[in-house]
Amino acid sequence: MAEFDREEVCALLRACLPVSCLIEDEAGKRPYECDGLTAIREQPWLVAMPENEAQVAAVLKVCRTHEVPVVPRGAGTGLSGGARPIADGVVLSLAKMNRILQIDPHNCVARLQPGVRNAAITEAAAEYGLYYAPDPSSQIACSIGGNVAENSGGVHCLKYGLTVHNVIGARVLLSDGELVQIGGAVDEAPGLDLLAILCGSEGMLGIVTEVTVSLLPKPPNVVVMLAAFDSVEQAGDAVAQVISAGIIPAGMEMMDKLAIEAAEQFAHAGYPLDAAAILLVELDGAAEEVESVSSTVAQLLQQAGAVSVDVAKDTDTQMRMWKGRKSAFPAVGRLAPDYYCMDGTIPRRRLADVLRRIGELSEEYELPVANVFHAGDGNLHPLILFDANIEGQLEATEEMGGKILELCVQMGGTVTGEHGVGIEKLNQMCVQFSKAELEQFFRIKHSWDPPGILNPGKGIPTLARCGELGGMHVRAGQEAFPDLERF
Amino acid sequence: MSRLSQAISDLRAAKSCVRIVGHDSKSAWYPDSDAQVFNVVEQASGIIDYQPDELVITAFAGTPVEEVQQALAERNQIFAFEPPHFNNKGTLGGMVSSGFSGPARKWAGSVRDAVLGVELINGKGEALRFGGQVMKNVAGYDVSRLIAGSFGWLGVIEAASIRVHPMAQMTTTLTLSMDLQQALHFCHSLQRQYLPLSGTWWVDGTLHIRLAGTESGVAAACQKLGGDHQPDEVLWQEVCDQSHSFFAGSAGTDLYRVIVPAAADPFTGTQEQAFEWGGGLRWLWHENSETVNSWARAQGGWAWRMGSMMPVDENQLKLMQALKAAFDPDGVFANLVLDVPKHQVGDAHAH
Repeated sequence: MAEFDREEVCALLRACLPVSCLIEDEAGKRPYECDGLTAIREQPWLVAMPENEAQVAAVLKVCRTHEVPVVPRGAGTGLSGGARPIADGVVLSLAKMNRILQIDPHNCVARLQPGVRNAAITEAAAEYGLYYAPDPSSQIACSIGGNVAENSGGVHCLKYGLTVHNVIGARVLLSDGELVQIGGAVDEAPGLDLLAILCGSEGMLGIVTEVTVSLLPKPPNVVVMLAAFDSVEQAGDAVAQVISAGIIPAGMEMMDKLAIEAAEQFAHAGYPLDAAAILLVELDGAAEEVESVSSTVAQLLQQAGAVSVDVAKDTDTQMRMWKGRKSAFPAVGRLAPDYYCMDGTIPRRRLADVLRRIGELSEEYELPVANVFHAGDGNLHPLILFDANIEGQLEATEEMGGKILELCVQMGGTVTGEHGVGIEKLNQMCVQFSKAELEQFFRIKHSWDPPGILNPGKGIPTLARCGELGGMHVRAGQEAFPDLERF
Repeated sequence: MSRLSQAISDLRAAKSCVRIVGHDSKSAWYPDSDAQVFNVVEQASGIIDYQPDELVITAFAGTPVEEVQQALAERNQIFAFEPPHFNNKGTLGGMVSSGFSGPARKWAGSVRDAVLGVELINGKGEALRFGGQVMKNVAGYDVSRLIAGSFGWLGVIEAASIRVHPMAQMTTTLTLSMDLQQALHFCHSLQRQYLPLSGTWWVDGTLHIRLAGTESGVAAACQKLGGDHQPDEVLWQEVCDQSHSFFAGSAGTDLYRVIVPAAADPFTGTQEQAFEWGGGLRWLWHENSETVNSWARAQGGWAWRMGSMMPVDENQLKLMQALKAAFDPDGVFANLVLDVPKHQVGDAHAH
């Protein structure tokens, strides 16, 4: 980035935004120092909060002309530091553009400004019996623009898909000032699938100013089951049995012993404290269907070795069962001063191997780990407990976290299932992708954002960075770490 | 360097421009191309890995789709997006790169939705892997899904990993007599109810509704909807493969595949029409492309005349051409389907 005249650029930004939409003072900027990855902070130069598309375009124009980095931000709930500011840059918050523009019950779509909260979509669609399916656990706060940037998932995505499967249109402002309408209230758009590349692009390609999403009819009946197991292997096997029987549950979540204990203390969800693992299975559909499928699933869980299977048909019990899982992160957070949430995805059949190796790393680093697992789709969230006030523990935690992610790649998985790369997993991207693949990513970035002002330094590591790490790139099934024991 | 990436490097060095072909079963959908044919079937065929419990299959691009579907059927699984087989042919690579999905698309998702990973050779001859075999993966840009529907413009697919679904326990078809307007209204009312829908096909005054799911779920839906029901797999296969008598057409008219918002009013310019996807996909036979295109645009959709290029807005096209240059700077892979305006033809070779 070139040097720019701060006074001149600030005057230009003041000219294109109302006074209340440009934060310049120290105290006002403080909430924007980090996103959900609170360990990494930086004070931004300015925070711009445009109220409409024209103001977004005006801010982008100033920043493009003066080569000022722009860090887009939704609700700031991201967990990988994607919205971490740049000291010489502008944070572009879309939080003020939070209007639901249209709920169209005839076409079952909603048109939204980017700052609309995820949960607000479902609230607005409820009067038509419709809802928006992707439900990241931050859904009461996170915004649809941020969901598009991160391709957010949630506990129901094995059956209902990720953000990319539920977004059908977007208006996007590019850094060169072009406004592009991609897709719309239709199932498919002609030509290259620009939405596919936009979803999960972490604010590096364009600024989304409007999103069109599909709405689905709300399932009339739901059953939640809680099964306890004496080992994580058995719980993992039970998941495979359910899928093999041709059943795709709406949600299927696993927690290990430490996660169960933490959640139970916190939420009093009625989890069995003597279990090594629990599975939560949610089934939805017509009344008769849910009835018959849930009895099949209960049988399969028992056959796989479940010590107990509790079935909740009433909403209160279901909410109680889910409460433990949904509060697992804050619950684990009470066990130690700090925790670090990882986000790898693995082929499910590798679960036992991966958990065993995580256990070994936990002993080696003397840092406890609780595991929460979107079992249906193989997305594992190990939560490493540490104390940042003890010298060296943060660094040790980050190093151990990095090893866990590299393990996921080695097992044929990925370094991030749903939280994104951001600033957090840049090193692990060097492990997952080759030089040619990273270069391809950079050419994609350049094709949308030639000036390179949008969220620079995030998502894709530079080749120099990977070089410094010393040729870590590995492929699944290849022996990547000859110095480590085989497992 | 693999044989395939060597071949592309050689083509690039020779400044060639190729059209990638598997069984060449979908070429009726785009105009004739001067580009030299590059066949992937002899380069890369066969199933690489199939993990039914993980809901994923990986195969080389030249593998016949039918072969893959047979392997899935043996484990009671399917490609839920129903890839069409034109003239009983089609390869996995063609399935991904054409992006064509069948009648279940509205409810079960598209090919693109199911693509989990690709191994791709770009125009520089580099062998690249994106995505993988897992359901959730947000590491880097989602190139795998970008490749779906790209008609071989960005690279040659060497292999792809595709998400699979369990086969429905039960499938049945309801038939109801109604005119086009009534059928569209009926479909919109269905769309807001929780039903195991997996296809709608209206033609000649009859709406066919396919239900697929658990026995109890389908039985409950049948009770709710009424009407005659019977299994009718042949009908849906014919609709999917565009071999139904409707697709035989009439002299002097062209076939249009029109994607519009499902609730769009009927097109009144022809009697020769049918619809799928609850009204989101309209099939029209018509003699005038401007009439059909402008109607589709007015509805917020688009029309593709069989055997012609797809119309794309200019500012979207610019982005697509920039992406093209990012993957294939020297234009090794021919543009088969994108309507590039005449004044850009000079650039079109490179972009």
